[in-house]
Amino acid sequence: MSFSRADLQKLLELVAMTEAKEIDCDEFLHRVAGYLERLGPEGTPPPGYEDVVHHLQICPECLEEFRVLYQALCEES
Amino acid sequence: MENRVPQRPNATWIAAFQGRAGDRPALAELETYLQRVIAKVARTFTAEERDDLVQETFARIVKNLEAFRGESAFTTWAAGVATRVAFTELRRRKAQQERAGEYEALEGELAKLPSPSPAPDQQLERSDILMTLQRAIHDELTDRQRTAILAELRGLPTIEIAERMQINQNALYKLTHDARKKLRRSLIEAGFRGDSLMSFDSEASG
Ligand SMILES: [Zn+2]
Repeated sequence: MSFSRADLQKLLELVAMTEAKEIDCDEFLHRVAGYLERLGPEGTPPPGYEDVVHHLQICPECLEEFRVLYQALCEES
Repeated sequence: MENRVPQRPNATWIAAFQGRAGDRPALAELETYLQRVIAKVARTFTAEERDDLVQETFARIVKNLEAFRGESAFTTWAAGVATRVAFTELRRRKAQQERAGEYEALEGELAKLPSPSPAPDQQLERSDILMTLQRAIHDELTDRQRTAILAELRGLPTIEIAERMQINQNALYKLTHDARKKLRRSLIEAGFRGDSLMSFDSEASG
């Protein structure tokens, strides 16, 4: 089978986190700026951005972008 | 060059991008700022490439202006768009250079797939959640869903997968999201309601 055990385990984690309604990467992009500006002092997620937090858990590419953007904004402010 | 985020009211930026008020100095400041953001994505971008990526970012901003809802400073949103544009370019290069041919290889691998052997009788194995997942992948997913899911699991850039499938990235997200929902339903129907699947119980519409 081309899905290795490691693939299946990774997929199971994603399946376990799957929600009936999720935002896609475009919607994430338009919400992440508001999320970043409202992040608490120790990275506490702001209320109302649960969909953004969830997308960060499920989408490695948006997580990668988020980390760089977060760093960039910290350095620029 | 002054290293600071350009400060203007959001309405000023929107007007500038709508072409209603040609605020040249503001746009020039924004360009410089976004150049710095893009440089943080990859130091390997040349000055000329950074310039091109800023122009691409500006084009994306114009196209998506209505998606900006004022939840943040306009410059923060613009920095997000620039980050996306720069990463998309990086991933496109990576797909062409380092990972060329991987998508076809996965497709070939999946085409040769034998169907999973019939579920064994042993209670122990039947309760194996991974085996149920494997069976659901075979029984419930379309060829395209299987390929997309496997390609994502193996870390192929979504830009590459979407282009191969001749769909846009949002359609790709929908394709794999639908696949995950099908798999989740299969696991629930097979009786898996352990800790890892607790969040599934409230599934209403799917
Ligand atoms: Zn994403």
